[in-house]
Amino acid sequence: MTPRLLGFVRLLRDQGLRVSVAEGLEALQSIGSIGLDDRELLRLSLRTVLIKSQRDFALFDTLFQRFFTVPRRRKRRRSKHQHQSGNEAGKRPTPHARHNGGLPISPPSLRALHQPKGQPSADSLQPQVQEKLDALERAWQQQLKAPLGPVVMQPEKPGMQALHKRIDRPFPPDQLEDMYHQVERLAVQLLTRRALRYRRSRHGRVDLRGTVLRGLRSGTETPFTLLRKRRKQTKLRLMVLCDVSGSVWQVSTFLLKLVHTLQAEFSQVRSLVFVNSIVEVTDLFRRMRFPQDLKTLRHYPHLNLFGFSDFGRAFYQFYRDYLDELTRETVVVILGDARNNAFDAQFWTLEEVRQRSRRILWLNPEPRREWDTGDSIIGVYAPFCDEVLECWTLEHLEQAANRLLQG
Amino acid sequence: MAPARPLSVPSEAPKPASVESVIELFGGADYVCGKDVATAVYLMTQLQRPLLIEGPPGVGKTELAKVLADTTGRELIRLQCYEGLDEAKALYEWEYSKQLLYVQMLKERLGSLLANANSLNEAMAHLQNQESAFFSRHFLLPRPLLQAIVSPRPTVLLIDEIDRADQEFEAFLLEILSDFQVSIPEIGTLCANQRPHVLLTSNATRSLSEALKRRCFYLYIDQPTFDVELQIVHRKVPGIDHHLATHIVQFIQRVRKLQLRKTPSISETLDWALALVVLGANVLSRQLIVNTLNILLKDKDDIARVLQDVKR
Ligand SMILES: Nc1ncnc2c1ncn2[C@@H]1O[C@H](COP(=O)(O)OP(=O)(O)OP(=O)(O)O)[C@@H](O)[C@H]1O
Ligand SMILES: [Mg+2]
Repeated sequence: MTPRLLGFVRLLRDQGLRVSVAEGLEALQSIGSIGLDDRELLRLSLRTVLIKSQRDFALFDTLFQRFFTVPRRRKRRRSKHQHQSGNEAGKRPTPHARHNGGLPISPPSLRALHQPKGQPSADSLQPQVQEKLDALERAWQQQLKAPLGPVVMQPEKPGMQALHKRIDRPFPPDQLEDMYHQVERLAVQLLTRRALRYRRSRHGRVDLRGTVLRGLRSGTETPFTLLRKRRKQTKLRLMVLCDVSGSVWQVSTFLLKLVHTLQAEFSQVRSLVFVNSIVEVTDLFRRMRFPQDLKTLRHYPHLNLFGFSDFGRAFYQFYRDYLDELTRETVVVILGDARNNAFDAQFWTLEEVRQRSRRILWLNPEPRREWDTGDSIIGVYAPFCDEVLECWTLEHLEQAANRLLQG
Repeated sequence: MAPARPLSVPSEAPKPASVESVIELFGGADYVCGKDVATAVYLMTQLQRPLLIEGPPGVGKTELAKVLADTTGRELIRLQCYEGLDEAKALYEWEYSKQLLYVQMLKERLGSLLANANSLNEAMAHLQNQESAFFSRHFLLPRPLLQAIVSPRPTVLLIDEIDRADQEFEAFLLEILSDFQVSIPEIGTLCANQRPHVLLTSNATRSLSEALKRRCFYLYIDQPTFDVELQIVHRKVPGIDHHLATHIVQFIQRVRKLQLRKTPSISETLDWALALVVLGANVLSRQLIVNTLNILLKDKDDIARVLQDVKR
């Protein structure tokens, strides 16, 4: 069973389902408990152990069906073949046949679109990698004998390829959903990594020393006044100001998605978007579904998507209407290419904003070499920001998120 | 730090012997379940893994934990999650009031202890030497997670609605789930003598971390099929007329297909069925539906929507 199970796990992975080595081993153990007689139980067991989201059930079931079913037609053809060349009857079955119980593995290319072209399918791989599979099996069995160590809690990084993917251009609709999903995953991973650093914090515990000390000082009778150790951490507020004009729309929506996923980490998140004037969309984003609800954003009242970007005007409005909302805990994030169409930059407004807030972080969705070319005036605004970062790959987005979480 | 030590002699709790026997055991406790649920339960008890259960409200996620505890002779310990839940509420706290009471009772002794001190600093040093007395198990208030670890009886630990807790709590939970062992700096390490069966439920209000999911087996409980729901009604509303029960479940299954704000769950089915029995109904007439629909549905628009459907 082991090689066959390995083949199945490979297939799941090829089709984009995440299965860790530990989960593979658990699948093997579960087969140990459940046996192989009942195919339905086998399906349910493997699903229980390997699939961690109901959304993936349908894909799993299809793959299971294909992988563990004996297609009649094929079998008959084989026996006919054996009949014709009678002398082959006693021959050792080919590795392919041996390890699939005579089944062809033909994974349906449900996600073929997302699969890199040059990669061989599980089908063509199967005979060639037989030796590797055997080796893997031995390794597995060894691992199985060893007690399972403590969980490795290292969050997985998305593949390098994905991280370097440019996000500053439009995606075909069928890939878009996946991209938002990747952004969400990135955010969740960040959170996990961050949370793993969290250890027992002893804040909020009674400060015995302080309590006794206070009692001694005041010289009063007991009971003492309870002193508690203070919890220092205060959460930050976030004010996100996004240019959503055509040129940067895509990156802006990714950033908004990211911030949306991280919002529990901040005490307050407000989202503002602009082309030439500011519109607050905080409420919309509180219960936003990506990418379905983006069209609501596109048609948001007072948001003129087809106007010319006017950063100066937007900043002035921000200064006029939101300055009083800023506190020392507010981080202001601006996303835009600073292509101001030769309007008045009104850069002084940023200085005012900076005075009132904790930090200004500017994310520019253009590669650095394009900054200050043409009508880009990022160099005019930069001196008033605490940081200006490039933001045109997932990795950049991740860096930006890290900066935000650090405060 | 002291080595981990079990707190008492382990007493083995029985495990279901097969998937079929889970179905039987649970059936005996009036919990109707299919093979999918039974397989997940069987595997988690066999391989000692936490089981993450997702599904719409009211499909019996919490009930499953109760029934598992009942049928395997384990004690049910429940940790209800909410935003802001922290270790003090989940793991343990020191019992400050008790500590203070003792401080008061020992005031005299403290006075003499401190009498020889020449300076405040010296007095503080004396006091610190006594600190350990105040942080012994005697003053420890165990919360659900620690209760599950130190319980002399085998337990089912239900971590209910984990999606409501903060992400950082999730990471903390992972540590506990990985070895069921807790280090309390003032006392040492405590470990469970028998692993609890751990069930986590989630209504999927946010996505859980990959690390947690990888650690758990997974079960999705969906709204019940017609057959299952009919069985549940018969079990939970004994004596109900078979035709009436059939009509009720048929009706509810149809209602669930409508796009409602709040789809009725099993508990609402049961409330409704019970009400109809109490009213002495034996057929589900249109008029009866109109009169009692507010038991099944709570949202005004939903009621209007269904009534419109009934009229047709
Ligand atoms: N399979 C079942 N067999 C018998 N009774 C059931 C079953 N499923 C649910 N019930 C009944 O439905 C009621 C609701 O179940 P429960 O409270 O466990 O739902 P839940 O999934 O935990 O809901 P929530 O997500 O709102 O917490 C229970 O009181 C139980 O009596
Ligand atoms: Mg519940």
